[in-house]
Amino acid sequence: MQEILKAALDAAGAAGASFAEARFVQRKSEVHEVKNGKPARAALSADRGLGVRVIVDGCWGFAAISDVTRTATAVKTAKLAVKIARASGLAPSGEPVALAPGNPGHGEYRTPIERDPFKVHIEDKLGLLLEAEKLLQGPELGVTQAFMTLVRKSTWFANSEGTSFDQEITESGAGLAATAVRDGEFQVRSYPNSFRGNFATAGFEYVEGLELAANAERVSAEARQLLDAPQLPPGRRDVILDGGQLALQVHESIGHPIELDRVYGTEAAFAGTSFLTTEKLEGFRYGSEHVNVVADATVPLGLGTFGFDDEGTPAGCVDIIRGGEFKGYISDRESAARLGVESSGAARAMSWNCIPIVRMTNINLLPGNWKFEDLLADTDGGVYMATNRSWSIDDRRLNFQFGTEAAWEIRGGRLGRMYKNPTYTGITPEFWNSCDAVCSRDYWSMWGTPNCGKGQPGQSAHVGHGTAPARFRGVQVGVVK
Amino acid sequence: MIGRDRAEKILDTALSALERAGADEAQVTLSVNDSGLTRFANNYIHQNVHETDSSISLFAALGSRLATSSTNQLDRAGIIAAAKQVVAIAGESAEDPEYPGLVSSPPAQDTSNGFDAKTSRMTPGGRARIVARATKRSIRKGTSASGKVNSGGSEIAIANSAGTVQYCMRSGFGASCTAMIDGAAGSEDWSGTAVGTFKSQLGKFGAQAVRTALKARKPKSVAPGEWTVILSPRAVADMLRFLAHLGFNAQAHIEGRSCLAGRLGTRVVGENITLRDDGLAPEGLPLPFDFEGVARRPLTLIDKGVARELPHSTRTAKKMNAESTGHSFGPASPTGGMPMHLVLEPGEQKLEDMIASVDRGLYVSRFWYTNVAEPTAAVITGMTRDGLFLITRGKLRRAACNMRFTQSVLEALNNVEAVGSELVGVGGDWGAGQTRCPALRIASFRFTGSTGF
Repeated sequence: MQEILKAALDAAGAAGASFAEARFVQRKSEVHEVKNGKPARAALSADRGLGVRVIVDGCWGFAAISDVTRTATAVKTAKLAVKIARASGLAPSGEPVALAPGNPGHGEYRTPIERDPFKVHIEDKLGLLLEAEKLLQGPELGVTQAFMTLVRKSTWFANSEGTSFDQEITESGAGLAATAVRDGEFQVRSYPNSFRGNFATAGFEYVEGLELAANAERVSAEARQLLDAPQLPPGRRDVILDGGQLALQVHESIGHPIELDRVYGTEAAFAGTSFLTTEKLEGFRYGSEHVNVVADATVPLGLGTFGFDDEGTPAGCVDIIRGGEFKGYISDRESAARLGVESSGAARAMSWNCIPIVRMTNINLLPGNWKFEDLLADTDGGVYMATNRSWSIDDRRLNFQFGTEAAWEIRGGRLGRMYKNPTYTGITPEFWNSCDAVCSRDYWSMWGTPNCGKGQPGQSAHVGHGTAPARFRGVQVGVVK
Repeated sequence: MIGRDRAEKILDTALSALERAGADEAQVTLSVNDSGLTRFANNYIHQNVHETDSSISLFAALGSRLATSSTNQLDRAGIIAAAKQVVAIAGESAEDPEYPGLVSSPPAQDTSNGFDAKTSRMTPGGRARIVARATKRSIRKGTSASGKVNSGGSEIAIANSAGTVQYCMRSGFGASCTAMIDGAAGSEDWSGTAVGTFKSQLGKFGAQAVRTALKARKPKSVAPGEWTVILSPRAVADMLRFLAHLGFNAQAHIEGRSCLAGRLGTRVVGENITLRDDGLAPEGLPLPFDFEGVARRPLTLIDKGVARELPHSTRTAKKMNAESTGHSFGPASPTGGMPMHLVLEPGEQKLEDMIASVDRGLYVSRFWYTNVAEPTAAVITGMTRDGLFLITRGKLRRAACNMRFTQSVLEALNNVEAVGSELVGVGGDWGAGQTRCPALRIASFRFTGSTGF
């Protein structure tokens, strides 16, 4: 592999590139789904290829090819990348690309796993899903599903500055969904999260630890109960969000606004910009004193956990919000250089055929001190909202609206009446400043988001969020009529 | 691009490998992609990429035990390894008693007029020169332009053990530009099968975005509530795509999860709405067959307000006693067929006349980040973006601050007061079909939140 990477770098340099990086990526995945008592999907996929990114006369170029059996192909790809970079100069040009300092040297990283998911027998995987899915079935349960997703991504990287790494990331995930149907209405409950479950950088032990079967009957019962539940009425309420919903709230209203490339406008036409302009870097009150957020690419199980980002920057943990005050962005080498800081190590590419762009790693809301039971007891008349169903936010990441699968009224320190179709809406800084309690580490866990979209051509990133249930005061709920 | 002969050789090799590995039934889908995309922001090119890839997706059935596998290692050894693997996985899977079997389909309609060699071979220099037209204009006008120009070609070929062989070549061109100034923005987005389609417009690339951005400065807050709106074709297309997803998935009808379940043959929206799906129209990024190799058939989804036809895969067709319409995502896909080439029948009003007919309302250039809020009633929510304008006494008077809408698509299409006369193609950059639709005037459109920009 090193021979192919070296051939690409040498060819790029000989063609005039002042900087070059070559990345060979090999991916494989396995997806299983059981639906209504029958296997609905058993799908394997594998792909591999080489991407070469160069700077020529201060402009970027990138070319990627899947057929990399010969060094001649790598050379041809590198030359195409140089040609593309030269074409970038045909339009009016901006400042020449400058990069924050790199990290010369060689590194290796492999996700720590106990049980290799690709060595577990298919029958065992299906058996686990079939057992749990069977427990979802019952009256009015029109659709019952169990899912499993296993991914391995291996990367070999080298650049012209002497940085290189080999990396193998393994991901495992699984989940359940029960859909109750009656008279043209349907309601869904999921476990441990919606949209195919939860995901982590881990081996098959993570799937086994989810205890799908132990949670199936509750999930199924709640889906049926939703059919009889009233709709959450509109109004201002104190709201406690569960960890899964809060993870997506963090993702949309903190994770995306802190992407430095958005701040500088390089995603403006597609993903949008950010309200978090650079003068807010010190002193902007993002949230209340209870809001402490880090971008941590080292946390165990995080779907955004790795050894090196796709520019070779070692994984680290950086402050984003401390005591409610905004402290820093996530960045790649280019955006960091523009701000005059080091890269935060957030340059990530979906695969061999994509350039690295600024992506979330694990954007974690750090735990507070509350016991969940105490928080319920302290929130009489409030609403507990659980498991994301819908999300939307404007292109500057200010005005958001979320829906969850279920909500419960909080009365006398307990969860009372259930509500269906719950929604809430708000403005990002107002919302985070209304946070007055975050549960403790005992209730804190990692949530994986395997479908974060950004970039053109589109890239889907795997990112993580650590959260514990938290309370927000006076939130507008019940937006849907 | 590898051509039909080479594609069919790969299909033959893979089908033989699947049969030798023990598959009772087999299907091979070959995808070839050669595409480039030049991206610009802050008035200069900041990302510029090219990708060449070929991959196959293999389907194997052992009786009714099914599995799929994909690989982009297309040498003989890679194909044989993938074939052995998928057959092994199928052997370990459980029976799927609802598997309908593969079908033999006649050759689909030739849509080679959906391929333009010049577009498929467009160089990075050619794309950069188009970008330069937008960025130079933007610099002159004092705005900041961002967007992309993409071009490329693709091939899709399918063969199965029942004797089906299908092949098509497609090309694609897209250009989008967003101009920003003083916190205001405007945008434009073109896509089609050939760059030549836009020959007369290329010199004006970015002009509409710049004009809209300049007009959108100093927006005024308006109150959320129910408004009469003129939705641009881009905004209409967004709504229609959600209606297709929520209302016209046959599998969801079978499972009672569709907002139109049990309502076929009844009036579901206004009589001035006729919605079709046409995957064969050359101007709509055609795809003449589905991923079971079944020839795609044009459908009337809504006829004068009445829900009519559903898109079917072989699997959903069998369950609903119908025939496949060529809308499957593959023989092992649990997802029902979906319409991917929507066409909303145009009306007779020009956009200017529609605006002139509004005493007080809003003109929406575009929706953004739309998502389902309540699927049973087809309620969606999203934001306006890139130009929201207040209409008073028949004229676009001034910019309004962006707002959030939360609205049932079915209710909105029941409140359509006028249908525009011009069909505009929207989207389709990433391999999906294009939605072609006119502007609409809609009464009582519900906005539920506002912004200060």
